[in-house]
Amino acid sequence: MNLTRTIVAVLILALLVALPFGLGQYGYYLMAIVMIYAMVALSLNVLIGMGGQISIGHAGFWALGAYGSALIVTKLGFPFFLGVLAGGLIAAAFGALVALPALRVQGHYLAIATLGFALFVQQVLFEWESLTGGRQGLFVPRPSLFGFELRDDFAYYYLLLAIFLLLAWITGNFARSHSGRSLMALKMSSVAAECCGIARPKHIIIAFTISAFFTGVSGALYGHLLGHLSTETFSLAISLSFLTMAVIGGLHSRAGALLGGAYLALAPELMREFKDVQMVIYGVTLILCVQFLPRGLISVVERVWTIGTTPHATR
Amino acid sequence: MPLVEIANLSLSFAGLRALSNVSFAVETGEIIGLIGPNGAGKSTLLNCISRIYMPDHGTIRFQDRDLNSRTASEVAAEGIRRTFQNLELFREATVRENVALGLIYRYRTSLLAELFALPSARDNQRGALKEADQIVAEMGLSEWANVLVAELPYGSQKLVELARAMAGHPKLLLLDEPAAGMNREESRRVAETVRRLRDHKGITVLLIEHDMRVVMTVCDRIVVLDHGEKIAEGTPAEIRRSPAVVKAYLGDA
Amino acid sequence: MITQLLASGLALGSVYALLALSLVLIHKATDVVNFAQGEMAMFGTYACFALLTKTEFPLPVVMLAAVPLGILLGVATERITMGPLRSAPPVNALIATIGLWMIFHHTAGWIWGYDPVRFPSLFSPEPINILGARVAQNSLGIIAVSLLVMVLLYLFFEFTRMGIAMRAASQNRRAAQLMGVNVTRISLIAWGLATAVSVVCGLLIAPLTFLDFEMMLSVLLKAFAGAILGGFNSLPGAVVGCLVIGVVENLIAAYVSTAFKDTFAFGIIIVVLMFRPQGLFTREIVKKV
Repeated sequence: MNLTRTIVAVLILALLVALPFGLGQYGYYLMAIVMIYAMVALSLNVLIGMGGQISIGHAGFWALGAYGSALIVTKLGFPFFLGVLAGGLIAAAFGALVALPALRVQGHYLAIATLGFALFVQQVLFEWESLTGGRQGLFVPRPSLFGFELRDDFAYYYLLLAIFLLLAWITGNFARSHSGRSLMALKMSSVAAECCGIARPKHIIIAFTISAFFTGVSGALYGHLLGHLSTETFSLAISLSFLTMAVIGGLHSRAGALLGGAYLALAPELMREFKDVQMVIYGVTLILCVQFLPRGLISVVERVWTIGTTPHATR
Repeated sequence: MPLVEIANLSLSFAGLRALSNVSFAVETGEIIGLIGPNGAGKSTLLNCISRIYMPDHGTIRFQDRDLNSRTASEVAAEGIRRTFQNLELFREATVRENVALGLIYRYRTSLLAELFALPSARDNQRGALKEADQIVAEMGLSEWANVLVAELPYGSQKLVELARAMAGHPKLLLLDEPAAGMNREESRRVAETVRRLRDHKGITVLLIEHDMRVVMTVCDRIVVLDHGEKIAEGTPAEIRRSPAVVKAYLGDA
Repeated sequence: MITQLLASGLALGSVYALLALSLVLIHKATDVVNFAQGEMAMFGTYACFALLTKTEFPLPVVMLAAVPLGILLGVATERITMGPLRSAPPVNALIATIGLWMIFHHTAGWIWGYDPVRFPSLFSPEPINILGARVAQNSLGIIAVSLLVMVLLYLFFEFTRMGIAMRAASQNRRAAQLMGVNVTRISLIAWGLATAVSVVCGLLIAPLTFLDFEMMLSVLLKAFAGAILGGFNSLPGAVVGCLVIGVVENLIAAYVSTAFKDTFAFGIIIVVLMFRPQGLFTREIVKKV
């Protein structure tokens, strides 16, 4: 069992390494976007898949990461890597701040708070012209590594892949850790978990903070890829798209996060002709997925895989 | 000094009195039975102790400290563990995992160590699983260790819940109808287990039970509730003779 | 000046209250928070506008048609999306309403265009004199229509069999089921009723803001804020909460700044959650095991 898992992981990795060859500039860019989105999907795996909490404001954390890193690199002259890390940490701090008040109440308050938060962040970034450039936006330097600028998205893609793998590894560790399992226990039955000595507020704050950190890192990396930030990017629509891709890819699997990232990055390319209805299609696929494939597209892949490899499977 | 001291506890839901001025104490090492007709407020009382409900009035002291300002998880961590009337298991998890979740709060490392799978975190995970396996074995559940709890028969699920409570090294164990839905032989075994836990581990037990045979054989003292009020308290022999108790039970029938 | 501000604040607040009532209604009946409620209101309002321009029915007739139209929209949506999710984990239903949000939002833009349209108002903006104070007629009109809707809702819950059954079900679902109350039917009725109320909300707000596929987002946020202020479980609480929000919004816009007049609601949500999470009017909630 463990062996097949390793083989699958190696195969996926080989595919990810080989994929960009021969794709051309735009292909590299798209592949980079896949990775950036997949990091957000990973963050929603932690929050929704393990924590059972929902956020419709991840654009807010994405924006904080992007603007945070851009400003720290341009205004303070920090190196790119530290900028990205700082972007993640700023987002994480705000993640904890948003989760804190909503925790005292059960139910959907946290989701509502995240919605308000994302709109608030977008507006502050827009109004605070002296810092963020407001309407004009903000120029962001290209990523650089040890003094070398990664001018090409081909090279940047491999850096993004490495960061994605790092975050995926952390996610896996978290899922096996006591904190992660406490979080999943709270999702299964919060009453039972609390009566086992597991503190609900603490673990939901942890989930929210990790999730916001991943998203902030992704946003920071995205800003350096685009080279220019404007507040319109961080709209409600992108929050909702994030949610869609995470659910469609699969909320309980790191490979699912990758699939979700690919969906969100590539679907617009395939749906060029019906640009107007693209979001409608997202909405429809989201509902169909929740109804018929609650574990996401990856569950189909897994099922096909198990049928192919273990004919005597009992379950 | 009693282990638990309940004083003037009252709670109402939407104007309906669930508990009214209930007071009694539990000494260390005692097995106390909580009986009364349906809707007498027994489970509500347990829920107040484990801080799922917040009482309107009155205090609950545990080891001479007030519980009202604490959360459910803090109370559990201090050594008050419980089972539930309608089972609150982690249904999508295995027996072993259920028991492990009952004790992992005692195995803490820093979050960073966990995220980067440092040796300290991995040692912790191994330690917790080892202890869980021990408890699973003690409760005679080893055969089912890797089975999803939802697939076990009802009686065994109750046992898993008890094992999970035991995993917390409780000082006080709250059992909400441990013998419900069991046949005569099984209830006898439950009674034996409760006795054994007290005799060998010194655990204080507060249990709700409808099976009078279990209550009368296992309990040192009994508290009787009716319509949210305490109507009697005493040894099993005293309770059997109490006219108030007879009236409450027969009056209902 | 200040009476004008108060009156228009109350008018605004009563519009928010209609949307908040829809949200709380569905939440009480089915435990789902319908994030798409605002978009469904916007969609219904566009449909009414189409009716108005295509058929040249007078405006009051179209406003009356909004009620059956809203019921139809709500019932159909519930049937198609929520029905299959009734036994799924609650977070799935929540995600589905977000799917609905995207569907209604962008379908409206796709069908009716992305440019704001002027929507005729039943009431004139001219002020009239009431007890020596000058108050805009449309403020009074909006308050009157909202009040009418609220009174009708009150009568429904107080005096009809179905309304009483719904109240019982929201207090104790298991008991209501045992007494033969049909949960599926209650969910359908809640969605139908709520959507009708929210379409009326859309019709009242469209003349103020122009008819636009983006128009309900800030309204939704403020309705949430008002509902949370009222405890999210009480219909009168939601109304009072929203009236407070409407008045505060108008005062902020007049005396502080208009820049944050839409996002201050977030601040209110956070403050309420921090200091009085159960809302201003309800007692602390206890968990049921």
